Amino acid sequence: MVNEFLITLFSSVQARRKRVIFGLLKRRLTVSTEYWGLRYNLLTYVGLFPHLDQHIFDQQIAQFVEQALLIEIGTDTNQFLLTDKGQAAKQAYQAKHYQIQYMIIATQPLSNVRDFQQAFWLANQVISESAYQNKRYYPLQVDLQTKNLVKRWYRKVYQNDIISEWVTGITEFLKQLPPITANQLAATWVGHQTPGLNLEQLGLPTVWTAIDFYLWELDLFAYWQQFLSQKQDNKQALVTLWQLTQCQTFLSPGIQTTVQQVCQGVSMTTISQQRHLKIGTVREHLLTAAIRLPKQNFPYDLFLTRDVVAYLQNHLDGSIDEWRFTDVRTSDDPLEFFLFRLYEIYLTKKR
Amino acid sequence: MTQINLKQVLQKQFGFENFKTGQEEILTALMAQQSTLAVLPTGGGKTLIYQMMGALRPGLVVIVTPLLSLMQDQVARLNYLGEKQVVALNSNLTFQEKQSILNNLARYHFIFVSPETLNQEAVKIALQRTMINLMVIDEAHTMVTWGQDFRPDYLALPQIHIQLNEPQLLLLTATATPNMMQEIVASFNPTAKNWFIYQQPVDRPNIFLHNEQLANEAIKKQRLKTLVQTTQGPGIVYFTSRKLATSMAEWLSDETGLNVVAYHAGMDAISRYRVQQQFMQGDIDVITATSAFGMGIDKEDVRFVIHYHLSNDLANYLQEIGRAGRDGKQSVAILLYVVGDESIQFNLIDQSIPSESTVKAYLDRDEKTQITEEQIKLLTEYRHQGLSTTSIVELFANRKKLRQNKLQHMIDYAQAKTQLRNSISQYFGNDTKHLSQDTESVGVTAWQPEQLNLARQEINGHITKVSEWSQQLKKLFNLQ
Repeated sequence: MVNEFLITLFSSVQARRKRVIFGLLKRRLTVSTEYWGLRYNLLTYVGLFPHLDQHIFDQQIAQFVEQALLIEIGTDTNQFLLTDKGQAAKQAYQAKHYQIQYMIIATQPLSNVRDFQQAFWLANQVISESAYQNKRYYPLQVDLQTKNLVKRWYRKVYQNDIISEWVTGITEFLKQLPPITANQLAATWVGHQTPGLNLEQLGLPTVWTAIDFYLWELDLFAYWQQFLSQKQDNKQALVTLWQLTQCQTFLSPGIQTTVQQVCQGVSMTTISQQRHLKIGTVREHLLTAAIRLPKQNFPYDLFLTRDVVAYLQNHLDGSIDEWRFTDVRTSDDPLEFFLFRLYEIYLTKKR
Repeated sequence: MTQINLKQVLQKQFGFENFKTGQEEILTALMAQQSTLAVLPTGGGKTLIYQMMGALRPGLVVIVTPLLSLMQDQVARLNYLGEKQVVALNSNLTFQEKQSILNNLARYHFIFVSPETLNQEAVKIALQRTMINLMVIDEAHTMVTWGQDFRPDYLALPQIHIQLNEPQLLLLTATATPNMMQEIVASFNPTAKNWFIYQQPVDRPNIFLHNEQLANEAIKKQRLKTLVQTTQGPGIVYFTSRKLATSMAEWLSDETGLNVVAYHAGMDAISRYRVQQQFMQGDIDVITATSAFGMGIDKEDVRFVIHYHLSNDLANYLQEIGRAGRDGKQSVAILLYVVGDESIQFNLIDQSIPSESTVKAYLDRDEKTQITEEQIKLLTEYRHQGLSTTSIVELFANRKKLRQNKLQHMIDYAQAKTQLRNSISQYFGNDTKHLSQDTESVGVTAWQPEQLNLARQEINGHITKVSEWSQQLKKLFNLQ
């Protein structure tokens, strides 16, 4: 279903690696992939298509090249630029199709949004059926983890007025949406003798495809997620369900610890020794944190000292994407690459 | 266990008054420890058989099933029937989920598993440690159809059966020719004799058979519209491509004012769920589908099944038209054919079976340009069995011939002017003596739906409307 949408992930001024784009969509992340995701301004899309098939992806890119929408820079570089025709096709696509509004401001991994969405669907069905005292129905087939989560949640929140509490929770959010959007979103839900409506039945733009519908739904759930995150203390059943689905942390506990230690003045070498981590891993932790955190939340000053910055400034100019590490390298010390990359991240965030 | 007991269990635990045809014989054989191959029509109550075995005996019922989407439907159906300890083990699970299931196998009564997952070492080891009540292979005909083309793990099933200490087998299918049945049974340990084979005749007297040959694609398209407009629904129209199923749904909706919705395996799980449930609930007049639709659908009152394209063989055709008239009432299967339609199917055969040069390039020179991952797996499996390149090439060549041959029967059926019923029953090795001769027709003018009481009564102009969300919540949660 991904097909033409992929054109929107390329640029007419910045050559982009298809491997990076694939890795981002599939959430197959390395520090390098994430760095380029930052450079391409595509980190919002991390994990957007966890089941994306490599073969289909490659085929689609090849097709873009064949249609002269994309052009490969050099041979076998796997870096692609949009041609004029490609740029026009991208704009035409964007004009007709759904543009995400809320995911951009989301601070949570998309997998959490998706988990919440799945859990909500099933929980909503369970409560709807219970409102009719019906036990004989086809439960939505969500993944096993979500199924178990909803079971646990239901045992926990089950009480006499669960239905009105649930409706209150939903109502609070639907009121935030434009009325037509709220009507359409509610119409997608499954419940007692309510199979839910699909794309074509919702009165959404007729040019929309399955991918627009997917993005539209996911985007609204990202917004809902934002809304619920402001109600952390609330004991409402819906808030509890949302909390249970927030399994993926923005930064893994290991990375968080590394950042904290560095901020407390512990050196990378000491961290490496104390926690039995390779020094390379510690550096990767820091680069990952720098990529993911807002600029003010990462201690750039600790590494990008005045001398370091002065040296790099002197030796590098032009577009960051064109910089080559070999131009600044002075020794075999891997710390140099760390500083080079961190400086690139810093400048990207500064803009 | 005596027959009376079986019936008591049926009434007490399952709430049915009587068995469907064949169920009791099959259960009796199973209780007598016989391995069983059962050819039962779609909707013939296959689920009840293994569900009941789960109630009659302790241990885990392992159900090998080919399609992920089907697996989900089957789990949902058992849930619906009140079974809670049901799980699907497949490639959609995370590593942790899979581990957790394997570590707690004893907690479950039913486990659905794909041949690919079943063939994994960890899964086999966990199952070896578990008491298996019954090993069911659903859609068993796929062992001899898909196995040899693109699902090599199907070929390993007999071997796996031995590795699992040969639990009792129940092979289920809706369509198998005598040759296929023989081939399936023979593939299992030949010492496992004592097979019980149950076969119900394939003929479904309440499904009227009607074929039309049309001059070209444009005429066929218009004819489809007329048929959909004038034939009593609900109905299903089968296409070979997802794209066409989708675009035709839109076109038919616009042209006829009916609620026509597409269904195919490319849709995500919840979209498929919505369509299935809308169809079950009677909100949808016509489904345009690929063959992915139906294996798990239990709708009793489907009145017509139209094939816009040929199925790849008569076994699949029969399976697909078998969705019609499960309630036993008058229904119809219509096959639309334009000379040359078969080229799609011939191409599919060519694409799915690797050519001689592809096989040689891979096996002798390790060239992977022309070959798919599944095909590589298949070739590796054959190599593993000690086959030479020449014999593998020959095997594929035979395979291709066989499939082309099966397709030819389908084409012959589509071009037949008479004897539709007879030819199907003959193909499946059934007796044709008592078949009705006047429940079939061929040609556009011969189609008289009113004579069958299948003329569409009215078109409601079904437009789905999105109501106010507050109204929707009232309905969802039973609020006043």
